[in-house]
Amino acid sequence: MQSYTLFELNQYIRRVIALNLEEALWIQCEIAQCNTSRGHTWIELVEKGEVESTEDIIAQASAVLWSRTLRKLRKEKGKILDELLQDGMDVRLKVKVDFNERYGMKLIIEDIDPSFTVGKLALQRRKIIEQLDEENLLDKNQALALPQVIQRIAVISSENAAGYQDFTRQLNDNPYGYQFQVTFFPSAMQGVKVEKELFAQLRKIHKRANQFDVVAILRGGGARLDLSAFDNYALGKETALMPIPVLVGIGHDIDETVLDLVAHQSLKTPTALADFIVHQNELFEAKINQLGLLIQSHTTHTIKEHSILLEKLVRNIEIGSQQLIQIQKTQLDYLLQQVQLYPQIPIQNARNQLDKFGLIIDLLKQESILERGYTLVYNEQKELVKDPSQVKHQETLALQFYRGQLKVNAIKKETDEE
Amino acid sequence: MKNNSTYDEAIKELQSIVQQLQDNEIPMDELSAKVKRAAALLKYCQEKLRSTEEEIRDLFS
Repeated sequence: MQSYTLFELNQYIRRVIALNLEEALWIQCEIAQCNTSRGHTWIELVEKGEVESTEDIIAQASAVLWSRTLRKLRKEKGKILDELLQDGMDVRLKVKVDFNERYGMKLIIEDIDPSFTVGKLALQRRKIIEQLDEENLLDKNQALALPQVIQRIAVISSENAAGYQDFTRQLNDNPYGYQFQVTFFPSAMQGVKVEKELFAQLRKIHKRANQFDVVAILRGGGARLDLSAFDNYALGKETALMPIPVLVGIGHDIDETVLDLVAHQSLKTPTALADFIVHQNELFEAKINQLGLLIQSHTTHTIKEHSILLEKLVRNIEIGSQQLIQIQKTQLDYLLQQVQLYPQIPIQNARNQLDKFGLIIDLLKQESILERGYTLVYNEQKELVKDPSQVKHQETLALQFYRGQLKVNAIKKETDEE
Repeated sequence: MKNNSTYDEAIKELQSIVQQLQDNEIPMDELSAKVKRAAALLKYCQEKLRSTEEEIRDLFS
Protein backbone atom coordinates (compact mmCIF):
# COMPACT_ATOMS: atom_id res chain seq x y z
CA MET A 1 0.00 0.00 0.00
CA GLN A 2 1.65 3.16 -1.21
CA SER A 3 1.46 6.13 1.04
CA TYR A 4 2.52 9.60 0.18
CA THR A 5 3.69 12.28 2.48
CA LEU A 6 1.63 15.35 2.80
CA PHE A 7 4.43 17.36 1.33
CA GLU A 8 4.52 15.04 -1.68
CA LEU A 9 0.77 15.47 -2.15
CA ASN A 10 0.90 19.19 -1.90
CA GLN A 11 3.89 19.29 -4.15
CA TYR A 12 1.99 17.35 -6.72
CA ILE A 13 -1.00 19.57 -6.44
CA ARG A 14 1.29 22.55 -6.82
CA ARG A 15 2.69 21.15 -10.04
CA VAL A 16 -0.78 20.39 -11.44
CA ILE A 17 -1.97 23.83 -10.71
CA ALA A 18 1.17 25.46 -12.09
CA LEU A 19 0.81 23.47 -15.20
CA ASN A 20 -2.89 24.06 -15.80
CA LEU A 21 -3.24 27.51 -14.48
CA GLU A 22 -0.08 29.14 -15.70
CA GLU A 23 -1.74 32.36 -16.68
CA ALA A 24 -3.62 34.70 -14.42
CA LEU A 25 -7.38 34.78 -14.94
CA TRP A 26 -10.14 37.25 -14.46
CA ILE A 27 -12.73 36.21 -11.92
CA GLN A 28 -15.85 37.74 -10.51
CA CYS A 29 -16.53 37.43 -6.84
CA GLU A 30 -17.47 39.22 -3.68
CA ILE A 31 -15.18 40.50 -1.00
CA ALA A 32 -16.26 38.93 2.25
CA GLN A 33 -13.54 40.44 4.34
CA CYS A 34 -10.58 42.68 3.77
CA ASN A 35 -7.66 43.18 6.13
CA THR A 36 -4.42 45.00 5.85
CA SER A 37 -1.30 43.85 7.63
CA ARG A 38 2.19 45.10 7.07
CA GLY A 39 1.23 46.79 3.86
CA HIS A 40 -0.27 43.67 2.34
CA THR A 41 -3.97 43.24 1.92
CA TRP A 42 -5.52 39.91 2.82
CA ILE A 43 -8.90 39.32 1.26
CA GLU A 44 -11.47 36.59 1.76
CA LEU A 45 -13.33 36.12 -1.49
CA VAL A 46 -16.70 34.43 -1.70
CA GLU A 47 -19.40 33.67 -4.16
CA LYS A 48 -22.95 33.66 -2.95
CA GLY A 49 -25.91 31.70 -4.26
CA GLU A 50 -27.90 33.02 -7.21
CA VAL A 51 -31.06 33.79 -5.23
CA GLU A 52 -30.49 37.11 -3.44
CA SER A 53 -32.51 36.26 -0.38
CA THR A 54 -30.70 33.11 0.53
CA GLU A 55 -27.16 34.32 0.93
CA ASP A 56 -25.49 30.96 0.92
CA ILE A 57 -21.83 30.87 0.18
CA ILE A 58 -21.15 28.43 -2.56
CA ALA A 59 -17.48 29.17 -3.05
CA GLN A 60 -14.70 30.69 -1.05
CA ALA A 61 -11.03 31.46 -1.45
CA SER A 62 -8.32 33.48 0.20
CA ALA A 63 -6.54 36.13 -1.77
CA VAL A 64 -3.67 38.47 -1.21
CA LEU A 65 -2.74 41.81 -2.67
CA TRP A 66 0.96 42.42 -2.11
CA SER A 67 1.83 45.92 -1.11
CA ARG A 68 3.86 46.49 -4.20
CA THR A 69 0.93 45.56 -6.41
CA LEU A 70 -1.34 47.64 -4.26
CA ARG A 71 0.85 50.67 -4.80
CA LYS A 72 0.99 50.05 -8.53
CA LEU A 73 -2.79 49.64 -8.80
CA ARG A 74 -3.42 52.66 -6.69
CA LYS A 75 -1.32 54.71 -9.04
CA GLU A 76 -3.17 53.26 -12.03
CA LYS A 77 -6.76 53.35 -10.80
CA GLY A 78 -6.68 56.14 -8.32
CA LYS A 79 -8.65 56.51 -5.14
CA ILE A 80 -11.40 54.22 -6.33
CA LEU A 81 -9.18 51.30 -5.52
CA ASP A 82 -9.63 51.79 -1.80
CA GLU A 83 -13.40 52.01 -2.29
CA LEU A 84 -13.37 48.75 -4.18
CA LEU A 85 -11.51 46.90 -1.48
CA GLN A 86 -14.36 46.97 0.99
CA ASP A 87 -16.30 44.22 2.63
CA GLY A 88 -19.31 43.33 0.55
CA MET A 89 -18.06 44.69 -2.75
CA ASP A 90 -18.61 42.76 -5.94
CA VAL A 91 -15.31 42.87 -7.80
CA ARG A 92 -13.61 41.61 -10.90
CA LEU A 93 -10.05 40.55 -10.21
CA LYS A 94 -7.22 39.24 -12.21
CA VAL A 95 -5.73 36.48 -10.08
CA LYS A 96 -2.95 34.01 -10.32
CA VAL A 97 -3.62 30.77 -8.54
CA ASP A 98 -0.79 29.99 -6.25
CA PHE A 99 -0.51 26.76 -4.39
CA ASN A 100 2.03 26.50 -1.72
CA GLU A 101 2.82 23.27 0.12
CA ARG A 102 2.87 25.00 3.41
CA TYR A 103 0.04 27.51 3.13
CA GLY A 104 -2.24 25.90 0.62
CA MET A 105 -4.02 27.73 -2.15
CA LYS A 106 -3.94 31.45 -2.41
CA LEU A 107 -5.10 33.75 -5.17
CA ILE A 108 -2.60 36.44 -5.90
CA ILE A 109 -4.32 39.56 -7.10
CA GLU A 110 -2.59 41.20 -10.04
CA ASP A 111 -5.22 43.54 -11.32
CA ILE A 112 -8.71 44.81 -10.72
CA ASP A 113 -11.45 46.06 -13.01
CA PRO A 114 -13.24 48.96 -11.39
CA SER A 115 -15.76 49.34 -14.18
CA PHE A 116 -17.18 45.93 -13.32
CA THR A 117 -18.01 46.97 -9.82
CA VAL A 118 -19.32 50.32 -10.92
CA GLY A 119 -21.31 48.69 -13.71
CA LYS A 120 -22.75 46.07 -11.42
CA LEU A 121 -23.77 48.65 -8.93
CA ALA A 122 -25.30 50.76 -11.65
CA LEU A 123 -27.24 47.79 -12.89
CA GLN A 124 -28.44 46.99 -9.42
CA ARG A 125 -29.48 50.54 -8.95
CA ARG A 126 -31.45 50.60 -12.18
CA LYS A 127 -33.27 47.42 -11.23
CA ILE A 128 -34.21 48.85 -7.86
CA ILE A 129 -35.45 52.05 -9.46
CA GLU A 130 -37.55 50.07 -11.90
CA GLN A 131 -39.08 48.07 -9.13
CA LEU A 132 -39.89 51.13 -7.07
CA ASP A 133 -41.38 52.74 -10.15
CA GLU A 134 -43.61 49.77 -10.76
CA GLU A 135 -44.89 50.02 -7.25
CA ASN A 136 -45.55 53.75 -7.76
CA LEU A 137 -43.20 54.64 -4.99
CA LEU A 138 -40.77 56.90 -6.88
CA ASP A 139 -42.85 60.06 -6.62
CA LYS A 140 -44.74 59.27 -3.46
CA ASN A 141 -42.67 61.31 -1.06
CA GLN A 142 -42.31 64.17 -3.55
CA ALA A 143 -46.07 64.34 -3.80
CA LEU A 144 -46.24 65.35 -0.17
CA ALA A 145 -46.61 69.06 0.41
CA LEU A 146 -43.59 70.62 2.02
CA PRO A 147 -44.63 72.33 5.26
CA GLN A 148 -44.65 76.08 4.91
CA VAL A 149 -42.64 76.34 8.08
CA ILE A 150 -40.02 73.73 8.93
CA GLN A 151 -39.07 73.68 12.57
CA ARG A 152 -39.06 70.13 13.90
CA ILE A 153 -36.41 68.15 12.06
CA ALA A 154 -35.58 64.47 12.49
CA VAL A 155 -31.93 64.14 11.51
CA ILE A 156 -30.34 60.84 10.60
CA SER A 157 -26.59 61.06 10.49
CA SER A 158 -23.41 59.67 11.85
CA GLU A 159 -22.43 61.20 15.15
CA ASN A 160 -18.96 62.05 14.01
CA ALA A 161 -19.92 63.13 10.55
CA ALA A 162 -18.72 66.59 9.67
CA GLY A 163 -21.93 66.83 7.73
CA TYR A 164 -24.04 66.89 10.87
CA GLN A 165 -21.91 69.61 12.45
CA ASP A 166 -22.09 71.71 9.30
CA PHE A 167 -25.81 71.24 9.14
CA THR A 168 -26.63 72.31 12.67
CA ARG A 169 -24.22 75.22 12.50
CA GLN A 170 -25.78 76.48 9.29
CA LEU A 171 -29.25 76.11 10.78
CA ASN A 172 -28.53 77.88 14.02
CA ASP A 173 -26.49 80.66 12.46
CA ASN A 174 -29.31 81.66 10.15
CA PRO A 175 -29.59 85.43 9.78
CA TYR A 176 -33.31 85.58 10.48
CA GLY A 177 -33.24 84.26 14.00
CA TYR A 178 -35.32 81.19 13.18
CA GLN A 179 -35.30 78.55 15.91
CA PHE A 180 -35.20 74.87 15.15
CA GLN A 181 -35.90 71.72 17.08
CA VAL A 182 -33.52 69.02 15.87
CA THR A 183 -33.87 65.44 17.02
CA PHE A 184 -30.86 63.29 16.29
CA PHE A 185 -31.13 59.68 15.15
CA PRO A 186 -27.65 58.22 14.84
CA SER A 187 -26.78 55.81 12.10
CA ALA A 188 -23.67 54.68 10.29
CA MET A 189 -23.34 56.55 7.03
CA GLN A 190 -20.43 54.55 5.63
CA GLY A 191 -19.62 50.91 5.42
CA VAL A 192 -21.66 47.81 5.82
CA LYS A 193 -23.81 48.89 8.73
CA VAL A 194 -25.48 51.69 6.77
CA GLU A 195 -28.38 49.78 5.36
CA LYS A 196 -29.43 48.16 8.56
CA GLU A 197 -29.05 51.18 10.85
CA LEU A 198 -30.49 53.71 8.42
CA PHE A 199 -33.48 51.47 7.85
CA ALA A 200 -34.02 51.05 11.58
CA GLN A 201 -33.95 54.80 12.16
CA LEU A 202 -36.34 55.46 9.30
CA ARG A 203 -38.71 52.97 10.85
CA LYS A 204 -38.40 54.65 14.22
CA ILE A 205 -39.09 58.06 12.77
CA HIS A 206 -42.04 56.75 10.81
CA LYS A 207 -43.71 55.72 14.05
CA ARG A 208 -43.24 59.23 15.43
CA ALA A 209 -43.79 61.05 12.14
CA ASN A 210 -46.40 63.38 13.59
CA GLN A 211 -43.75 64.84 15.91
CA PHE A 212 -41.66 66.15 13.03
CA ASP A 213 -42.00 68.41 10.00
CA VAL A 214 -39.32 66.76 7.86
CA VAL A 215 -36.63 64.09 7.91
CA ALA A 216 -33.06 65.09 7.04
CA ILE A 217 -30.54 62.43 6.08
CA LEU A 218 -27.04 63.83 6.24
CA ARG A 219 -23.62 62.63 5.29
CA GLY A 220 -20.44 64.54 4.82
CA GLY A 221 -18.69 64.14 1.48
CA GLY A 222 -17.35 60.64 1.07
CA ALA A 223 -16.38 57.88 -1.23
CA ARG A 224 -18.35 57.61 -4.39
CA LEU A 225 -18.73 53.90 -4.13
CA ASP A 226 -19.84 54.19 -0.57
CA LEU A 227 -22.99 55.68 -1.94
CA SER A 228 -23.99 52.24 -3.14
CA ALA A 229 -25.30 51.65 0.33
CA PHE A 230 -28.02 54.13 -0.51
CA ASP A 231 -28.96 52.20 -3.63
CA ASN A 232 -31.09 49.93 -1.58
CA TYR A 233 -34.63 48.78 -2.20
CA ALA A 234 -35.68 48.56 1.43
CA LEU A 235 -34.34 52.06 2.16
CA GLY A 236 -35.98 53.41 -0.94
CA LYS A 237 -39.33 51.90 -0.05
CA GLU A 238 -39.19 53.09 3.53
CA THR A 239 -38.33 56.61 2.36
CA ALA A 240 -41.11 56.61 -0.19
CA LEU A 241 -43.62 55.57 2.41
CA MET A 242 -42.57 58.18 4.97
CA PRO A 243 -45.60 60.32 5.71
CA ILE A 244 -43.47 63.45 6.00
CA PRO A 245 -41.03 64.84 3.41
CA VAL A 246 -37.56 63.29 3.45
CA LEU A 247 -34.72 65.64 2.59
CA VAL A 248 -31.39 64.16 1.66
CA GLY A 249 -27.93 65.75 1.75
CA ILE A 250 -25.41 63.01 1.44
CA GLY A 251 -22.65 64.98 -0.13
CA HIS A 252 -21.85 64.13 -3.68
CA ASP A 253 -21.65 65.82 -7.01
CA ILE A 254 -22.87 63.80 -9.91
CA ASP A 255 -24.39 60.49 -9.06
CA GLU A 256 -27.84 60.20 -7.82
CA THR A 257 -28.59 57.29 -5.59
CA VAL A 258 -31.94 55.59 -5.19
CA LEU A 259 -32.36 57.51 -1.97
CA ASP A 260 -31.89 60.79 -3.83
CA LEU A 261 -34.49 59.84 -6.40
CA VAL A 262 -37.09 58.77 -3.91
CA ALA A 263 -36.59 61.59 -1.45
CA HIS A 264 -38.69 64.74 -1.54
CA GLN A 265 -35.61 66.87 -2.10
CA SER A 266 -31.97 66.02 -2.67
CA LEU A 267 -29.35 68.62 -1.88
CA LYS A 268 -25.64 68.50 -2.68
CA THR A 269 -24.40 68.95 0.84
CA PRO A 270 -25.74 69.08 4.41
CA THR A 271 -25.00 72.81 4.36
CA ALA A 272 -27.12 73.22 1.26
CA LEU A 273 -29.85 71.24 2.99
CA ALA A 274 -29.78 73.58 5.95
CA ASP A 275 -29.96 76.53 3.58
CA PHE A 276 -32.92 74.97 1.85
CA ILE A 277 -34.81 74.64 5.11
CA VAL A 278 -34.01 78.20 6.19
CA HIS A 279 -35.04 79.46 2.78
CA GLN A 280 -38.44 77.74 3.07
CA ASN A 281 -39.11 79.58 6.28
CA GLU A 282 -37.84 82.80 4.79
CA LEU A 283 -40.31 82.49 1.94
CA PHE A 284 -43.11 81.98 4.41
CA GLU A 285 -42.09 85.00 6.43
CA ALA A 286 -41.92 87.12 3.29
CA LYS A 287 -45.38 85.92 2.33
CA ILE A 288 -46.75 86.81 5.74
CA ASN A 289 -45.17 90.24 5.62
CA GLN A 290 -46.62 90.89 2.25
CA LEU A 291 -50.06 89.83 3.44
CA GLY A 292 -49.61 92.19 6.35
CA LEU A 293 -48.86 95.05 4.00
CA LEU A 294 -51.80 94.14 1.82
CA ILE A 295 -54.11 94.08 4.82
CA GLN A 296 -52.76 97.41 5.92
CA SER A 297 -53.21 99.08 2.57
CA HIS A 298 -56.60 97.53 1.99
CA THR A 299 -58.00 98.53 5.34
CA THR A 300 -56.61 102.03 5.01
CA HIS A 301 -58.22 102.27 1.61
CA THR A 302 -61.53 100.86 2.83
CA ILE A 303 -61.59 103.15 5.84
CA LYS A 304 -60.87 106.11 3.61
CA GLU A 305 -63.63 105.10 1.24
CA HIS A 306 -66.06 104.73 4.08
CA SER A 307 -65.20 108.01 5.70
CA ILE A 308 -65.75 109.77 2.36
CA LEU A 309 -69.09 107.98 2.10
CA LEU A 310 -70.05 108.99 5.61
CA GLU A 311 -69.21 112.60 4.94
CA LYS A 312 -71.34 112.50 1.85
CA LEU A 313 -74.22 111.01 3.82
CA VAL A 314 -73.89 113.64 6.53
CA ARG A 315 -74.03 116.37 3.90
CA ASN A 316 -77.07 114.74 2.32
CA ILE A 317 -78.85 114.46 5.63
CA GLU A 318 -78.14 118.07 6.45
CA ILE A 319 -79.31 119.37 3.10
CA GLY A 320 -82.24 116.99 2.93
CA SER A 321 -83.55 117.94 6.33
CA GLN A 322 -83.19 121.61 5.62
CA GLN A 323 -85.10 121.18 2.38
CA LEU A 324 -87.86 119.33 4.19
CA ILE A 325 -88.17 122.09 6.72
CA GLN A 326 -88.27 124.65 3.95
CA ILE A 327 -91.08 122.78 2.23
CA GLN A 328 -93.03 122.62 5.46
CA LYS A 329 -92.49 126.31 6.05
CA THR A 330 -93.82 127.12 2.62
CA GLN A 331 -96.80 124.91 3.23
CA LEU A 332 -97.58 126.53 6.58
CA ASP A 333 -97.34 129.97 5.04
CA TYR A 334 -99.78 128.89 2.42
CA LEU A 335 -102.17 127.43 4.99
CA LEU A 336 -101.91 130.60 7.06
CA GLN A 337 -102.83 132.62 4.03
CA GLN A 338 -105.80 130.38 3.37
CA VAL A 339 -106.98 130.48 6.95
CA GLN A 340 -106.79 134.24 6.93
CA LEU A 341 -108.48 134.65 3.61
CA TYR A 342 -111.21 132.14 3.40
CA PRO A 343 -113.30 132.84 6.48
CA GLN A 344 -113.85 136.31 5.06
CA ILE A 345 -115.90 134.91 2.24
CA PRO A 346 -118.77 133.35 4.15
CA ILE A 347 -118.72 136.27 6.52
CA GLN A 348 -118.92 138.70 3.66
CA ASN A 349 -121.68 136.64 2.09
CA ALA A 350 -123.59 136.56 5.32
CA ARG A 351 -123.15 140.27 5.74
CA ASN A 352 -124.42 140.90 2.25
CA GLN A 353 -127.32 138.65 2.94
CA LEU A 354 -128.10 140.46 6.15
CA ASP A 355 -127.88 143.82 4.41
CA LYS A 356 -130.32 142.58 1.83
CA PHE A 357 -132.69 141.44 4.54
CA GLY A 358 -132.30 144.76 6.25
CA LEU A 359 -133.31 146.64 3.14
CA ILE A 360 -136.33 144.42 2.60
CA ILE A 361 -137.38 144.81 6.20
CA ASP A 362 -137.01 148.55 5.92
CA LEU A 363 -139.19 148.63 2.87
CA LEU A 364 -141.81 146.40 4.50
CA LYS A 365 -141.75 148.56 7.58
CA GLN A 366 -142.46 151.64 5.47
CA GLU A 367 -145.48 150.18 3.74
CA SER A 368 -147.30 149.14 6.92
CA ILE A 369 -146.84 152.57 8.43
CA LEU A 370 -148.33 154.24 5.39
CA GLU A 371 -151.28 151.79 5.30
CA ARG A 372 -152.26 152.99 8.73
CA GLY A 373 -152.63 156.52 7.45
CA TYR A 374 -149.32 157.91 8.45
CA THR A 375 -147.38 159.93 5.94
CA LEU A 376 -143.72 160.19 5.39
CA VAL A 377 -142.37 163.68 4.88
CA TYR A 378 -139.52 164.28 2.46
CA ASN A 379 -137.71 167.56 1.84
CA GLU A 380 -136.54 168.88 -1.43
CA GLN A 381 -133.40 166.79 -1.12
CA LYS A 382 -135.58 163.72 -0.90
CA GLU A 383 -134.48 163.15 2.64
CA LEU A 384 -136.90 161.94 5.27
CA VAL A 385 -137.82 164.73 7.68
CA LYS A 386 -138.30 163.61 11.23
CA ASP A 387 -137.74 166.87 12.97
CA PRO A 388 -139.87 169.94 12.15
CA SER A 389 -137.24 172.31 13.39
CA GLN A 390 -135.17 171.36 10.40
CA VAL A 391 -137.85 172.63 8.07
CA LYS A 392 -137.63 176.21 6.75
CA HIS A 393 -140.59 178.51 6.28
CA GLN A 394 -142.17 178.08 2.93
CA GLU A 395 -140.00 175.08 2.16
CA THR A 396 -141.54 172.71 -0.26
CA LEU A 397 -142.13 169.34 1.28
CA ALA A 398 -143.38 166.16 -0.29
CA LEU A 399 -145.91 164.11 1.63
CA GLN A 400 -145.89 160.42 0.87
CA PHE A 401 -149.27 158.83 1.46
CA TYR A 402 -150.07 155.14 1.16
CA ARG A 403 -151.39 156.00 -2.18
CA GLY A 404 -149.57 158.79 -3.86
CA GLN A 405 -147.71 161.94 -3.03
CA LEU A 406 -148.65 165.51 -2.19
CA LYS A 407 -146.50 168.59 -2.47
CA VAL A 408 -147.02 171.13 0.31
CA ASN A 409 -145.58 174.39 1.59
CA ALA A 410 -144.51 174.55 5.17
CA ILE A 411 -145.89 177.30 7.28
CA LYS A 412 -143.91 178.15 10.20
CA LYS A 413 -144.89 180.77 12.76
CA GLU A 414 -142.27 182.40 14.83
CA THR A 415 -143.59 180.87 17.97
CA ASP A 416 -143.17 177.43 16.44
CA GLU A 417 -139.47 177.96 15.95
CA GLU A 418 -138.61 177.89 19.60
CA MET B 1 -106.51 123.83 22.52
CA LYS B 2 -103.56 122.10 21.01
CA ASN B 3 -103.20 118.50 22.18
CA ASN B 4 -100.26 116.12 21.78
CA SER B 5 -100.99 115.23 18.20
CA THR B 6 -97.98 114.90 15.96
CA TYR B 7 -96.94 117.49 13.46
CA ASP B 8 -98.35 115.36 10.66
CA GLU B 9 -101.73 115.00 12.36
CA ALA B 10 -101.87 118.75 12.94
CA ILE B 11 -101.08 119.49 9.34
CA LYS B 12 -103.73 117.05 8.22
CA GLU B 13 -106.36 118.66 10.38
CA LEU B 14 -105.29 122.12 9.23
CA GLN B 15 -105.57 121.12 5.60
CA SER B 16 -109.00 119.68 6.21
CA ILE B 17 -110.23 122.90 7.80
CA VAL B 18 -108.85 124.93 4.91
CA GLN B 19 -110.56 122.58 2.50
CA GLN B 20 -113.83 123.06 4.32
CA LEU B 21 -113.36 126.84 4.16
CA GLN B 22 -112.66 126.67 0.45
CA ASP B 23 -115.72 124.54 -0.14
CA ASN B 24 -117.81 126.82 2.05
CA GLU B 25 -119.03 123.91 4.14
CA ILE B 26 -118.82 125.46 7.56
CA PRO B 27 -122.02 126.67 9.23
CA MET B 28 -121.82 130.23 10.52
CA ASP B 29 -122.09 129.15 14.14
CA GLU B 30 -118.96 127.01 13.90
CA LEU B 31 -116.94 129.38 11.74
CA SER B 32 -115.27 131.23 14.56
CA ALA B 33 -114.45 128.05 16.47
CA LYS B 34 -112.98 126.43 13.37
CA VAL B 35 -110.82 129.40 12.53
CA LYS B 36 -109.67 129.55 16.12
CA ARG B 37 -108.72 125.87 15.93
CA ALA B 38 -106.90 126.47 12.67
CA ALA B 39 -104.92 129.33 14.16
CA ALA B 40 -103.93 127.19 17.10
CA LEU B 41 -102.81 124.34 14.84
CA LEU B 42 -100.82 126.77 12.74
CA LYS B 43 -99.06 128.14 15.77
CA TYR B 44 -98.23 124.62 16.97
CA CYS B 45 -96.81 123.60 13.58
CA GLN B 46 -94.76 126.73 13.20
CA GLU B 47 -93.29 126.25 16.65
CA LYS B 48 -92.49 122.58 16.01
CA LEU B 49 -90.78 123.43 12.75
CA ARG B 50 -88.75 126.19 14.32
CA SER B 51 -87.46 123.98 17.15
CA THR B 52 -86.62 121.12 14.71
CA GLU B 53 -84.71 123.52 12.53
CA GLU B 54 -82.75 124.73 15.52
CA GLU B 55 -81.92 121.21 16.72
CA ILE B 56 -80.66 120.17 13.31
CA ARG B 57 -78.58 123.29 12.97
CA ASP B 58 -77.00 122.44 16.34
CA LEU B 59 -76.21 118.88 15.21
CA PHE B 60 -74.22 120.05 12.26
CA SER B 61 -72.59 123.09 13.67
